[in-house]
Amino acid sequence: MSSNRGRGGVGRQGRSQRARLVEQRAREARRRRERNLVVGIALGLALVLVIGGIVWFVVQSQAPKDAAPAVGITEVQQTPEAGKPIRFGVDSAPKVVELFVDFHCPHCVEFEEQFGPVIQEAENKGLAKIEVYPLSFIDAGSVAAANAFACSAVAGFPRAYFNGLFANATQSWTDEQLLALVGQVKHSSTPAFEQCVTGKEQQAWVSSINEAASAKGIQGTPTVFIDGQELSLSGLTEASLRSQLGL
Amino acid sequence: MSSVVRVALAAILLWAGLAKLTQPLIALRAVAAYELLPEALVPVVGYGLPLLEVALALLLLAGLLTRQVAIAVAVLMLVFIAAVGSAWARGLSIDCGCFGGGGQVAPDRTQYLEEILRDLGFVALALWLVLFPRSRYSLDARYAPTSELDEGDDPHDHVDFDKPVTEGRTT
Repeated sequence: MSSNRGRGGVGRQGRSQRARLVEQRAREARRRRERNLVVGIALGLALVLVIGGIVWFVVQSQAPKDAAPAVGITEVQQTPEAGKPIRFGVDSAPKVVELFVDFHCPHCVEFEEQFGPVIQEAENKGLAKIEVYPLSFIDAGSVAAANAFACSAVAGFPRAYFNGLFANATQSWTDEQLLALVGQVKHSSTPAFEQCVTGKEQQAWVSSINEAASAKGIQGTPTVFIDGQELSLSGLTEASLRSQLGL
Repeated sequence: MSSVVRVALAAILLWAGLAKLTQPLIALRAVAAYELLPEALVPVVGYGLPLLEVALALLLLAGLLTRQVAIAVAVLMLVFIAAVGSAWARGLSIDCGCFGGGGQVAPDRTQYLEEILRDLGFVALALWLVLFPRSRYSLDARYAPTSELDEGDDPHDHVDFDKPVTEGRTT
């Protein structure tokens, strides 16, 4: 539209404009190369973040972690009875703590992390006996863990094993992991224990516990009773739990 | 406007991702609770999804490939909506676990409609960016195909090299 101007003017202006244009194109090319590099690096980093992150989390979750040591604990060797809990602590203890937990329920893991040591202290001091109902509604790992927990009661180390199960709740609970856990909690496995775990020998007891819990109207886990009174978990503090346990 | 949408969407994704990553066990159970995946795939999605959200959030913050990233976010949100919808349709009682949390809840505590509407809001934000990906303070604007313009909101900011003579001549 502006090409009807005088020839000479266009020539002069055209040259400088062409020079500008060439320079601009070079600039554009540099810019495009830089952009491609930045995009490549960013996408590479994003890929590393996602893939590397998944691998790191999976490896991390299956790595064994130390459990709270069952120091000063008197382990009670016992045979699980249908619908009856596994017991920790001395029978003469004045208070009863009933725990309805699933070894794969995240809130149970949190509860154990936060309040498990307090409960264990009351148990150690002979103030409370603990009755554990291991429910198994989350996944196959819950069932396997509950079964192995019953096996550990027969083998005579349920408290240490219980602590180990919760401390390592990120594991999926294959038979190998359940057997390896015995060593991690400083006990030694026996052929009977191995047979019990791999053969799911306490399966009937595990089912009976689920039935007992639903008969008691348990809605979710964790559910905790102290002397038959349901413990309110919202806003529960260590101090209030200690006073309720007589510590 | 697009800058605001971009940063808002990035913040939402970052929050959602980090909330899940700080409680990986809960994130896993939240994924498993949908009962859509075989157990072997649960860890991949349980850990991968929040990581993907964080990665997309960082790209949005940097303002790189905004349109493509926004498309990915919209697709991701539609997948979430489909998953929540299927949980609802199958009569499960779960929390979506969108911002951490998740897993089974009491039947009267489900919030499927709210969760879906919220996700639809996020889809709208993403679609805005698909339509108007250019924004200030973004790497996309820095590498926009002209040197003259760094104000990315202007839709006419490109030079047509095939008609160089007309450039700068309009009065």
